[in-house]
Amino acid sequence: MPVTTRQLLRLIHVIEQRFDLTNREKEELLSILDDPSEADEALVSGYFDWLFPRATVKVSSSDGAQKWELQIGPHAQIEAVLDNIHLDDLIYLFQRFLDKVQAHEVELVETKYVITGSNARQQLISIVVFVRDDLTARVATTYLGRPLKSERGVRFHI
Amino acid sequence: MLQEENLAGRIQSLALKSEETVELPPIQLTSAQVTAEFEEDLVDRPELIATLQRGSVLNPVRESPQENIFSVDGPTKNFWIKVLHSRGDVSRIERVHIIGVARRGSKTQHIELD
Repeated sequence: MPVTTRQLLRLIHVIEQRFDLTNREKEELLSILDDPSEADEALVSGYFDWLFPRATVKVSSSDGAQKWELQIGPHAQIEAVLDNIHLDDLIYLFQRFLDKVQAHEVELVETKYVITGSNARQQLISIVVFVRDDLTARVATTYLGRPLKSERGVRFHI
Repeated sequence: MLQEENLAGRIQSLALKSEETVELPPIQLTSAQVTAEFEEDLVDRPELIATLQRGSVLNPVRESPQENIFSVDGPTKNFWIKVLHSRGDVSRIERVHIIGVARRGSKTQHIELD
């Protein structure tokens, strides 16, 4: 799905607000975003990844029983910017996930979890998280809505 | 830092996109050509390189609306990857970027919170 003008404007806004970039760097980056097809190529090929180093956040269930480290890489961060999904939304969703897991005594296993739910602004968001035995969870991708296509897998509501 | 030489020639490596399964012929990659979203995943880089070296089948990831993330199975691991090819020559793979690694055969769990 090609990137839309609205999505590009969000990324442009983020780059313009970055105080750690020189004006020349900003100009060069923004010049790529001027051309939608070039911008799309640049985004999917990871050209802007270096602008978004990994974010790591400690997330716990409300009762404190589940303590995880949520890691969000450049790819997912850029997707989030394009879709106006905030870091807080990802944390909120993952915390709700941990609360549900805890409440229903579901044991997390080392695999991929597609978590779909609303953020505090009532937007439906999906995140795909690689859960690991070392209590880290890595966000691989994030987007608005729920998965259109479904792989073989286990679907359950908790 | 800004990749000056890339900017001069603009974007040289393009991401492979497909809604369908892609059969990759055997490809030779150096370690430097395999990068990862999370550097810890680089411990599994040899398995991915060996898998791609034998020829492999890339399945579009069904859990993402994007068409540039593929799933490929190694002997013990399942990799989510992006494949970057040369502009003008899709067969020339320049880099493979690991998005995530899980155990091969592990089931994806779909969780609806609302």
